[in-house]
Amino acid sequence: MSSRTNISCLQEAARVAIFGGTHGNEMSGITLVNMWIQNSAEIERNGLLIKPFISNPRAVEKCSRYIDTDLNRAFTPENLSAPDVEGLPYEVQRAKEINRMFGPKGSADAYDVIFDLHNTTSNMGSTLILESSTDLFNLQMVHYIKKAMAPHTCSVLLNEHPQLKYSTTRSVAKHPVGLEVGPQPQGVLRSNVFESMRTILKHALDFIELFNSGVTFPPCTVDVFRVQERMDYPRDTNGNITAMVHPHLQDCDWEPLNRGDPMFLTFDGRTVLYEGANTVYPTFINEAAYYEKQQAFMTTGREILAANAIRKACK
Amino acid sequence: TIREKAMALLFLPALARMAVCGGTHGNELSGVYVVQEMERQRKEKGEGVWPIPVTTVLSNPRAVKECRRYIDTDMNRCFSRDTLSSPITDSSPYEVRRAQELNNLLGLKGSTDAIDLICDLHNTTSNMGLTLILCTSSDWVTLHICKYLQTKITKVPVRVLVLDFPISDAYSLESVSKHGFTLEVGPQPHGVVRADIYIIMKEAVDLTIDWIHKFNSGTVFEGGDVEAFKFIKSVDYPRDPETRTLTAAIHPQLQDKDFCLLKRGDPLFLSFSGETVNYEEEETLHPFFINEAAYYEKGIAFQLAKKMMLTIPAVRVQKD
Repeated sequence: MSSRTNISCLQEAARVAIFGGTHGNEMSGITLVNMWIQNSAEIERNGLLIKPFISNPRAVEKCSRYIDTDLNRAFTPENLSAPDVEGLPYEVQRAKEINRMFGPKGSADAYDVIFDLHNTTSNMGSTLILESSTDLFNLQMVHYIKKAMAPHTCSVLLNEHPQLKYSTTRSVAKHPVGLEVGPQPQGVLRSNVFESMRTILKHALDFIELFNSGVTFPPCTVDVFRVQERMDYPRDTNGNITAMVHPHLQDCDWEPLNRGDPMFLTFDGRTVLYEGANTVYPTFINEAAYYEKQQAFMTTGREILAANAIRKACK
Repeated sequence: TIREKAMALLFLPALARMAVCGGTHGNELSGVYVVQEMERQRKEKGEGVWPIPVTTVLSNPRAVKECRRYIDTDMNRCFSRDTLSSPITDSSPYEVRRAQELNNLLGLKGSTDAIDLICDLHNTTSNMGLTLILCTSSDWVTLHICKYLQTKITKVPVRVLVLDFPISDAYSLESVSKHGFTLEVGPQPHGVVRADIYIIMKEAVDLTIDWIHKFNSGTVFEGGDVEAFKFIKSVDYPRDPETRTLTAAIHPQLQDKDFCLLKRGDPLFLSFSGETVNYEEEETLHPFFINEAAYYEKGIAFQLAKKMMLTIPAVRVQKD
């Protein structure tokens, strides 16, 4: 396909938000956003409105993931249109407020880009999470970030799965981007993880500034991992887990898992093997917050996405 | 000296019963699952599954259910004499009530009815391998168990940390029994169970039971020197003087280096604006509990210990 004249003209990304504390115990984003609220010099870019924002302040205060319910699952159409009544879970109220401030989700008035900063106990390194395989702006941005971060690896996780996709805080924006850096325990601030996240954002903002200044970004391809399946722990009839992630799988995010490979180890020492027919690439392996969501890890498949050249639309 | 060693064979009473306690902090999961697995084994194989009587306890069931460190207050600070004897009212913290229940079950603290040994299972986000924490440096039973574990466990470093509290001031769960120690294994995030960490903790519990059985059966355990780390003090993060929020993180060169040698001029913290804060004291000490999640609220970035040698006598069970 000829790409000489195939340039997609996209709207300027004028308003950008950086969310920290969507989960109140994921410390890199909380620390970065609080720092930038105090002193925004580092994140300022020409012609760009950039708003650092603590999305779940009560959870941050308590250093817990959430107060009543997971904010990062709360941006459903039902919740966003729920009437303002007493007794709404805190995070539903908060979702509505965030939708008012940065949305409305799906409308022309919504913020152009929201970066939502997360940490994980999984060994995922630096990961960018996308929700659409056809968002050219986001594809070009992650391509730019990956190149700028090299040789440090940035993996790209694509969650476009009709059932497993969830209503994230960042989905309020036209171009939602999740930043997930690990491994880091909840409630802990690791210097290397903090600095990686800081650097990713620096490159992201550089990209947006360049794009807004009229630079054309040539066609590119992006290697992504597309979400396939959620794998739960083996459990007993009471719902308690009966096995742990196997030592051979632990910390092996993004590495191939083949049929016959060890997957779980029961507490009394038996190995449970992966029985799937195809090679998969597990991620979110042993994330603390996912025990209650019935997830030991997620399987993904490798894919290469192509993106047209892009340029800011002329007014 | 050879003469001292030949003379020093101490006869000590047998250990009739031990307790294995998990979930004293509800989100430190290895202990929760070790206790669960032991209870499953007891159900399957009967009381004779272990060579000595073992009581298994889930110390803080409500916190375990919610996967939180505690509900109202840190349970592992509730076992001081004052707290154990304080009257329970409707407004008493859950953990205080539960501590008194545990004192009835495993104590009474300080009495001859108290259980012989408590092994309290904990995890830390710090890279401390297997650390055996003792309140006192003069309990030969727990020091011998430490020496035994150090010889038998080779997969990870096994270190002995002595807090040296006067016994009357002890406030942790393992102070309820006649002999007590904490098995602290890391690094593991809270709310996560890692198979490699679980296996180490299970092995340490099994070896402890093994030692007690051998001791009760008449084995002479030779004395010798045990290297230990003695707690000196805690160090907090650099904080903003007004808001008390952190202005720096543990320096990448200190992160994960628990029990290393810290010398004057070594980096401690890296501020968010890029400055390094160095260790300025003359005395070479050893940092531990480096970047433990639960210690942010206690104002502790890491703690410092002095390395020392403890000499322990040979021991043998006293026959009635």
